[in-house]
Amino acid sequence: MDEEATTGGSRAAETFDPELIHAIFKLVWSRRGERGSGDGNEVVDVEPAPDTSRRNRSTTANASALKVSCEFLRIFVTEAIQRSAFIAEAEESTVIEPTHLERVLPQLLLDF
Amino acid sequence: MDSTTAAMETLVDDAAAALAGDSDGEAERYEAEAAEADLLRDRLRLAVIKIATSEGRKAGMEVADPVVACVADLAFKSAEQLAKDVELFAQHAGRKSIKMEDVILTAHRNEHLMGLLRTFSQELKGKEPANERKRKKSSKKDEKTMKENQSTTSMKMKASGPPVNCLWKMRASLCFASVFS
Repeated sequence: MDEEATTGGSRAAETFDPELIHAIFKLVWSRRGERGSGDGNEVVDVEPAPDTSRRNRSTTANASALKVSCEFLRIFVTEAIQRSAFIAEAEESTVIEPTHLERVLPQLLLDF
Repeated sequence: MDSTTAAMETLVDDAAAALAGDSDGEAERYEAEAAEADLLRDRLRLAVIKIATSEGRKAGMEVADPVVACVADLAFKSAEQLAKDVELFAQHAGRKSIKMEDVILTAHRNEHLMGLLRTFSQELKGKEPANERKRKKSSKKDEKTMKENQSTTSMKMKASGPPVNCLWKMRASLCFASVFS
């Protein structure tokens, strides 16, 4: 969990940890590799280093691509909360409830 | 949380399906994967809680727990989807390593979002050569903060002012009109 600018309290630009995102990506990619190759004789642990001799199509990630992915997910969360907050404001509530999220969910999922 | 249960059930179903046709090695692999996925999901949830509560505070509101949990699960699924898309794009380009452009392309359904990501990536690119020359990490942190703050502000201005985020308004009239009429 990256915390940039912890000094300026109101300007907290918090975002995701690139390493966490990288770990999620690797999980998904190794899952695809397993399903795709479909061989049961290899005991594949979910390791950082792929077995390059056989499954040489494991994908790797660029550092800046990870940062942009973090930004993507941060915007996703931010938009979800902001849109829900908008609905909550309209209903004059001070707490964002699941019903508020429900109303924005279709559009949110279409947009992302 | 229902969505968590649903996700768990999906994983269990996948594992069961794999068991039906494959050897025992598969089952162990799926269990290990499920455990790892849960760990990552929890870590992501923590991060989402932070971001969501600070966003809520900015809007002067508190966020209910089910909402945060739901957003966290959605974020995880979104990250998985992003991973698949980005892998496909890189492979399509004949590459094994994903680049910023691949990530930006996944946002193609929404022009506004794509623009934001593109701006962010350009700022990242613009900073890097300068970094290598002289500046240290401390100034990079300041710049990144400023830039993130800018992009946050621009997003927020459009989302919380009386004319809401233009992408929201445009689509809302199409989507909600049909749903709620």
